[in-house]
This record gives sequence, C-alpha cells and structure tokens, in this order.
Amino acid sequence: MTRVVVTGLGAVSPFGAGVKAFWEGLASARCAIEPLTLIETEGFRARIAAAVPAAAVDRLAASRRRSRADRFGLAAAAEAVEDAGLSRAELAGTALVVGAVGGGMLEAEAWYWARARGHGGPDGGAGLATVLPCAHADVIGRRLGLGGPRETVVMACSSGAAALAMAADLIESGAAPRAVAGGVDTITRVCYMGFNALRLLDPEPCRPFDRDRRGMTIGEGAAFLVLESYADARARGARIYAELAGHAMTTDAYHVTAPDPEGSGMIAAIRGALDRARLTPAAVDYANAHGTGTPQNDRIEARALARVFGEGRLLVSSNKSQIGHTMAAAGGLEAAATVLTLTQGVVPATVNLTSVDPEVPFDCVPRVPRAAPVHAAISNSFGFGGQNVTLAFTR
Amino acid sequence: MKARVVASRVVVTGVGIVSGVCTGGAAAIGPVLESGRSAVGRVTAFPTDGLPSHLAAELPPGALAALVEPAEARRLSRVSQMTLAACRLAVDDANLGDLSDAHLIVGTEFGDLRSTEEFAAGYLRRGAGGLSPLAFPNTVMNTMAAASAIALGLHGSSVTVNARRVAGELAVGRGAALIAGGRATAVLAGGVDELSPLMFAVLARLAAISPRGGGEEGCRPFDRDASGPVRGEGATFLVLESLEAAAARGARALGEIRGAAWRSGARAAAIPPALEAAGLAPGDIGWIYGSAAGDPAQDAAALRSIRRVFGDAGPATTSLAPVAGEHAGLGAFGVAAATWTARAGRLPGIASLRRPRPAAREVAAGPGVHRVPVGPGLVHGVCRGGDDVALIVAPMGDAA
Repeated sequence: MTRVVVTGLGAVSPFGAGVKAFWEGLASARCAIEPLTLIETEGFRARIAAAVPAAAVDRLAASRRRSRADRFGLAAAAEAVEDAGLSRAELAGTALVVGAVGGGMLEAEAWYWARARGHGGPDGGAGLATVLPCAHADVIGRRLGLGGPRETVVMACSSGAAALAMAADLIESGAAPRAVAGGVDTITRVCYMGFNALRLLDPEPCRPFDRDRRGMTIGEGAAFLVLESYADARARGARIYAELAGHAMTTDAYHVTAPDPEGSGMIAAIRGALDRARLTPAAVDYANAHGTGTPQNDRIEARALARVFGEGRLLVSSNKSQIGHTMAAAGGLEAAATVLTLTQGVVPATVNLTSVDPEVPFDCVPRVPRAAPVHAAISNSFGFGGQNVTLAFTR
Repeated sequence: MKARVVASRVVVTGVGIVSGVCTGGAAAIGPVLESGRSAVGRVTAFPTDGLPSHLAAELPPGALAALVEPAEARRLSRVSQMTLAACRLAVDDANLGDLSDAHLIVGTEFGDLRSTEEFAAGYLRRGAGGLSPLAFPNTVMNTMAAASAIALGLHGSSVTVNARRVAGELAVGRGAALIAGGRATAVLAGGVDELSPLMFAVLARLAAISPRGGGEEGCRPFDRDASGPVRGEGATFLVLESLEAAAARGARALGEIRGAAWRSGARAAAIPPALEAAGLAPGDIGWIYGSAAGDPAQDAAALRSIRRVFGDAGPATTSLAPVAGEHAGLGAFGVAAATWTARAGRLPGIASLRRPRPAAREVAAGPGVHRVPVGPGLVHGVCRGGDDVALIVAPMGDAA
C-alpha cells in the first residue's frame, strides 16, 4: 500500500500568518480569543471570537477579486508549497483538495446587508463572484500552478480534515503523487448568528472539557499540508515531518446538529483510522480532540475516546481553547498542530481549563503545554450532520 | 508514475432522476431521450420581470410532493427534498436494501442558497430574534447530504463536493474511485441544485446566463447563435457498486464506469488518464456526452479538450443542457444517459442546434436521435480554466 507522508506545512491562524506564529502561540499557551470587531455583534449572547489579527491580514497578498478567506487560503497553501520545496514541474502534477464552508460569504453578506438596507448595487458584482466555497481552490490552484485533480469538500466543521483524508485517497489510488490539502474559513455574519441562535456559543472564551463549559468560540484561519507518497518524497529528498498513516470518515445519520449520544459514528471513525494505520489503541499517545467546548460534544467525544483507548493513559487536548473553532479550517490547523506535536515533542495545552469534567476521564493537559515524546497521535473532527473524520499521524 | 490501483470494477446498478424533463429510475431515461423533450420554458415559480433572462428548466409543480413524505416535506428544505427523492429512487432502482455501510457523495454548485437567504433575511427583518436556529444548518452546503444520510440510515462517509459546472461529474468520479480503490462497495453519487430567485436574478444581471446582454434567449450548445447557458434544477443520483458486490446480490448492472479522472488548470486534460485507466484508446470511444451549455468560451474549451485527444473528426458529441438545464444533477444525468447509450447505441442529439460553429461542425450531434456504436463512450465535464472531468462509461460485458 502507498504510504502518505507530510512534507510541507502552512498556516494562517488567530496567532497571525505562518506556521511559526501558529506553533509559538500554541506552545506558549496563549489564548487568541478577543472581542469581535470584524462584524456587528450588537444584541448577541457571545461577542468574542478568535479572529486573524488585522495587522497580519494587512500583510497578506490582496486583490479585489479575492475574499478574505481566499487570502487566508492562498497564504497558507503557498507557505506549505514553499516549505515542501516543490518545483514548478512538480506542482503541475499536484492535486489540490480544499475543505471550505463559508467561501466568500463575508463579502457577499456585505453586499446583501447593504442592499437590504436600501444602499448597494443590484448585482453584487465582485462580492458574489467569490462567494462559492470552490472559489478558494480556483485562486490557490491558479496562483500556485497546481494542475492535478482539484476538489472542494464541504463537510461543515470536519471539512479541513475531510480534505486531508480525500487527498490521501488520491495519492493512495495513484491519481496524483502529491497533494496540497487543508481547510480555510472566515468568521461570517451567517455562522456567527447561527451558532448564537443555536445557543452553542460561550459568552466567555471557550473551556473545552471543563465542568463549567458553556459552549464554543468561533475562530478563523487556514492551514494546508503537502501530502506526498513516501516513495516520491524520498526520491526528491524531501524533509518528512510525519506520516498520515490512517484516516476514516463516517456518518452518524442521527441528527442534523447533535451528535449521536452513543458516539458510535465517532468510534467508527477513530477505529477506522487506527485500523488503516495498523495501530493498536495502546500505540497512540495523544488525541488532538475536536473538543469544541459545548457540553454535548466534549462529553460524547470523551466517551468515544474512552471506548477505544480506555480511560486515563491517553493525553487529550483541544486547540480550540486557544484559537476557537475555526470551522472548515479546524481540521487543517489541528492536523498541522498534531504533526508539530509529533516533531516537537510538546503537547499543546487545553487553556482555560480549571476543573475537568468528571465525565472526561483523561489528562487534558490543562493550562500548560506538556513536553512528552509522542510517536502516534490522532486528530478528530466532527461536523454538523454527524460527519466524522479521524486522521492518524505517526512519526 | 506508477500504475493506478484498481481493486475492483465499478458498475452502475441504480439511477434516480428528479428533473424538469423526467422523474424516475433507469427505465425513464430511454423514453425521454428518444422523445426529444426539453424542460426549458419560462420561469413560473417566481417573477422574472425586470430581469434580462426569463428561461429555466424547472421541476414541474408538485413533482416533489409525490416523492417525499409529508413530514419530510415540512422538515426539509426544497433542495434537500430533491436530493433525498433522487437518492431513494436510485436505491429502489438498484433494489439495494441495507445502506448502513454505503457512502454518499453529493455534488452541488449553489447548495441551499435559498435557505441561506431566508436565514439572513430573518435577521435583517427582526434582528437576532428573527433568526431560525433550525434553518442555520441549511446554510452549509453539506445539509443535503446530512438530511439524506439520516433519512436513508447511511453510515459510511457523506461528502459534499462543490464546483462550478462539473460538481455532478466530480461526485460520480470520486464515487467510482472509492470503489475502484477498494475503499467502498456501494456509493450513492450524484448532484443537485435548485433554482432560487436570488441566484437567478444575480446570474441574469451578471450576464452569466442567456441571453447575456443580447441575442435570443435559449440554450444552444455549439451554435453560432449561442447566447449563454440556461439554468435548470433537480437531482440525479447513481448507485455505484463493486462488480463483486453487485454480482453477489444478483443485482442488475446498467453499465460500467471503466475509468474516471479529473484534472485542473489552464491545460487540464482528464480524458487521457481516464482512457488509460479504462485500458482503452481514443478510437474505442464511440460517442460523447459533453458539458457544452451554450456559453461560447466554455463550449470552445470543452471542444479543445476533446479535439486534443480525438482530432478534428471525433466521436459524435451531444449535451443534455438543452434538455434539463445547467445544474449539478446534469453531470450524473449524463452518466445515467450514457449507460443507456452504451447499451442501446442511441445518442440524443442537440435539438436546438441550427447553425453549428465551424469548430463543432464535425462532431456536434444535431437534432434527432443518432445511431452510435454500442460500446464505450465518454462523459466529459469542463469548466474553463478550472476542472476537466472524464468518465468512461461502457456496457456490461464489453470489458469481459
């Protein structure tokens, strides 16, 4: 079977642009959640978010025809490609799989809001030209000269992880020797209002796995990984960060917004990824959890992890405590964090965690990152519609 | 590059079509394509006054009510109802019982735009109190897949792919690849889009649809009088299975997807790798269902891609866009139609073709139904500068 390895990383996160800023933010236990100023928040229960800092956004390449999300995606994908040291010829055969949800919705909303309030053109112009999620792939593919298979996958909050799983499929099947894959999303009015309407947002910075957690905090960003067949990576002398040893995607088919209380879809995804990676549960040291901070998700995810790994031994933490839930970008950013955890030997903390929920029978690495050798780790991503993805990485 | 991994042959065992021109399973295809009917007509579901465009291929009123339960009709958005209805038709057509291990791949261009607009409008009318928490999940394009997986009890992966023009072809291609690679034994794959007043108005004003600021409104692929595409709506899904799984349950196979490939960028060429995967040469391809929809630049890009492989006098090429309008379901409709053509040796021509462009004269299939070789053909989706998708469809037995 074709082995798939990670040879490049790129990120734009609430800690700023670049993988270096992302990892330094994670490793220093900072929390990037702040009052939200990108959109109107008047009258809503939660008025905070983890936005990409304006100073960092200003430095990203701009164009009238690119949405905020396009700019995040392009910067992260370009960093990953440069990190991997790919030539133009290699890029011409490289696949691109983008996990996305919001597309250029932020800009389209600006037009729609203005129109509804009686000022604004009738046609929407540039704002609507970039509204579809697939617009990111058009921008990234064209700018980086990627000519292999190109796909945009929309799987709600597991989109970024799904993109990585689908890219690995392309490499394993021989459809492409390598792929640029990950996720991108921005805060939009629609998602902010929707999570508020569902009362899923914590008015305070989210506290995954805490007994007193009250919901999630939204975030934004982008992360892309260069995935490559081991043989091709070796042949061109590439630096290998880690192996994407297994991946699995399942569906709860239970409820549109609530996870199956038994966690059976999550369990099937975790077991599927381990089986494919030929890893026993005992071989896994760390789970980069979906860990949104909603009462339901964290309880059910912990139960699913306990069913597969047993209680106790596994280290579990949630990057969302630091960067919020970056939605379609989350699977990409958290996969990048998981890979860096393997290479750096440091497990990011679950910040804001003061009293662990007794229903979470794990060491959730509260407040302070942990130096620990990690040989194998999983990254979980679960989306609305019960769409579950687990990725398994090994050193 | 090393050879592709092929663990299993991919067969089509069921079809579900919900479209303006017909609704049903595989048996509905032949009659409607022989009839030369088209669903393109003046839009009736919403006013188009003041817009430059007035034509679309709508679902007939009441078509959905006959296909979904009243409780589902109350709970699900219209585009989710279309998706579920087409999936059910396909599953029934395939006589497939248990879907618990099956996978679902939904291609869409615009998703549930109507629900997204309604959700935002609720806020703009009444502030935070006007927001419907139940409507919010519909603003994410995976809502059709989520709703259908729940209704069908499907626990494999459920993936939504978004693309301009080729989402349906891509979904079928990815489904075929899942089976060919041994990752799945049964996949429901297809596409869906609906007409919404906002989308129609924006496309009309941006001159993205016929008549694009001039000429006669209508869908005329490969024609010198082409004035842009005409939108359609609906859902088409296919049940794809591994040959072994289909044989083990004694399923009828409508045809085989012998090869699938997709590439991107200005020089994208998916046909050669799809042919290679199928183990076929260009001369083995007897006919083509293309994605030409009457946008001169898009149609020219599609022709260039075909001519690079087949030369100037390639196989007879048709398009279903004038039949059911441009929407993500059309790509899967084309694959369903291709299984019929592969068996019957009948290719429906382009009824609207009057004055072929010089570059298309040798290949474009004009009005009427044409005799073509029984055997493999190509389903080809192109979005200029973006994606190029090629699916090789063959009758059963041809590959034996």
